[in-house]
Amino acid sequence: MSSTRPQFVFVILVLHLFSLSSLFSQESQLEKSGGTTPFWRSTSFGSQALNPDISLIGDFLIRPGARDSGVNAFSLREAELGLQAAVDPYSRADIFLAVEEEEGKFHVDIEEAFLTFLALPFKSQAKAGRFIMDFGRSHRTHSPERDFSDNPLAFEKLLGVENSMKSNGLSFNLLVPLPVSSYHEVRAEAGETKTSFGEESEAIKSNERFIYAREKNFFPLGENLNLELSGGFGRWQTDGGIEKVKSTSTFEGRAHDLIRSIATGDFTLKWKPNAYRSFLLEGNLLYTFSRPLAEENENGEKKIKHAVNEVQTQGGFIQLQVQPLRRWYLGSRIDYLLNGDSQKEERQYVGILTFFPSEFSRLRFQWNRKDTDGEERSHRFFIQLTWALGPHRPHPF
Amino acid sequence: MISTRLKKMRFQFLLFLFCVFSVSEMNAKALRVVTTTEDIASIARFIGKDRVEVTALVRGAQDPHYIQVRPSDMIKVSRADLLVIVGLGLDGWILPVIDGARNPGVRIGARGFLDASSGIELLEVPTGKVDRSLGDVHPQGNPHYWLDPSNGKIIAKNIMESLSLVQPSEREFFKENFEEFSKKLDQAIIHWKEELAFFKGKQVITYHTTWSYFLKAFGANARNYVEIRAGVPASPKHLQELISQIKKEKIDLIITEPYFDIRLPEKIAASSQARLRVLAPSVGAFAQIKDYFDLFEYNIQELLRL
Ligand SMILES: [Zn+2]
Repeated sequence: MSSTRPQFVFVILVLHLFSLSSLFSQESQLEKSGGTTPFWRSTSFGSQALNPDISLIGDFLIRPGARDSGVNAFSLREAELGLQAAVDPYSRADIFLAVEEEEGKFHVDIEEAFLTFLALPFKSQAKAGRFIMDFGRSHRTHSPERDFSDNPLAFEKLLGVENSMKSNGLSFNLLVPLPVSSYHEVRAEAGETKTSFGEESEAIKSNERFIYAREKNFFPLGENLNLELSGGFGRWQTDGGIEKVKSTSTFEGRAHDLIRSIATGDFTLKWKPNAYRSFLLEGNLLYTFSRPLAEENENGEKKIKHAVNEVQTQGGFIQLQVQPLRRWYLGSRIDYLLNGDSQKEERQYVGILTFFPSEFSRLRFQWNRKDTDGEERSHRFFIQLTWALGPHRPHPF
Repeated sequence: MISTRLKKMRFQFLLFLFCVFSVSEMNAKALRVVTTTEDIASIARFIGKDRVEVTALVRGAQDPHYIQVRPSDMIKVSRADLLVIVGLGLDGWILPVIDGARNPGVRIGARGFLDASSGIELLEVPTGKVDRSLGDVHPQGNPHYWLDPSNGKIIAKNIMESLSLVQPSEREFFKENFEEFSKKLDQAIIHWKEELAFFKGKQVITYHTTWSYFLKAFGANARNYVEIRAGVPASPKHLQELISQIKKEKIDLIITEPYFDIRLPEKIAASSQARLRVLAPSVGAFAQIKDYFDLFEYNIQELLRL
């Protein structure tokens, strides 16, 4: 853990030098050309550039009937504070703090905090800090802004308690220089994650090291119709932790004995000709497998509980959203999960009706039906009210 | 046999490669200009002529206030030598596009970036505190300035200067084109003002504040708007107020944009003596509007039908 930090600092320094050098070359080119216009033209953004854009999102959730199962019926699930600004002409900073309610107590969490070097050589970009990893459109969206009041089973069961994978690390991406109008990007990320796959990871107190690679493709199918077709693969390895993995878990042994992999594939088909109508179809598959690195613990005793030494969990969802009227959205989602531990299949069917009283507030009604092998069918209802203050800059697509 | 076929194929392949290279070489000579709207694109074509290849990200028939950013826009901006925006927050959606394009040459502050509103005398700059209880206002002033034809010259001058910064060797060429354009525009403005002489002092109702610069240029004035405030649609109460205002003040013209819901202004027109005209807010709003001059020709012909 400590050995990786100086490397990070070094890489960040190099990135900064890169972006600064491009800044200076711009200035000297300007002097040579004898430009009469000042380098910093007065722009409408100039005044805002000095102060970060501040935004706040409140996410209030009502779960009728939830009290029976020991969950609060009313909760201010999250208040998210966003601070976003250009640091200099070639980099920007984005910080998102979340105040979350958990079992009646509030705690502050850093959702994301990263610096992006926007225009590195060869049409590349780099990001350093804490960020949500890119497993697809829904996953890279902050939870109050997601299309449904809950998260797909695949996120709940595969990506830990926060339903998303956040990492402290570095991310590097490159625009593939093809002479076409479609968008192709390759991305490589490395670092440490605290949130991890599966429920058993709660017991792992140390961070896990990871490497992750992703290929992102966007195809313009028409003036207002776009298709994203992307996929990724990553490996996570526990980093010498001494905490024992919970006995309920697959593998009993020292945490560092575990290596896990994830493969993701996703598509998003989006049609939005104007503010009044839209259509979105998104599908996402996540496949994880865990494998003990060593089959023996320190004392040379075999501690593997399962006969098989590889556990596979797979899940995914497909969602459809239509906007029949300017302020109304109808949506549906189907979740699927095959739990590698229990070998049980879970399915969930979700329906939503979303109404935007204005552009900055949203009211949503959601109904879930869940079928689990050998368990009783369950139903859940959500009423979600979300509001936004200030210029919250969304992920562009 | 096979070897000759192979040779032939190889030759064809080389020919193909040669063509690809020569085409890309040709393109490399023309400056790649990307604009947010078609109006600015049209003016850029007058200044750059055959030395530029201009692409607009938004079609003239689209509502520029609500634009869904596409990854292909980033690709276009990533290859641009000059990016020109309307500014004043109208095309604020360009910011993530610039960030995603990874093109240091067109980032804000670089010489390949131009906010075309520079030097425009702005209308409707809000005073005092601006918040969203006022709706989605234009907090930096009304951004629909290209609809005053005399502002076309300021936009053209800004573009001329930026093109000259990006390609100093063509400075004289761009300057000549600018002078030609502004002379042509000056003559057209005199002609248009003659045609619209009857328009002077006219009081009209418009859907959005899109027409403020246009009306001012021809001596007219917007008395009220179909939307309550920028971005806030009309309530039944507001519609009633509008209808009685039209009757009381004997207003006979309602102007709307093609991308807004036509039913509301139609309802108002039907309940009063006012006539409704759908004017073109941008080049390309209707198929026959091919450039900046057509834009005014079209709108003036529509108004002359009154
Ligand atoms: Zn407007």
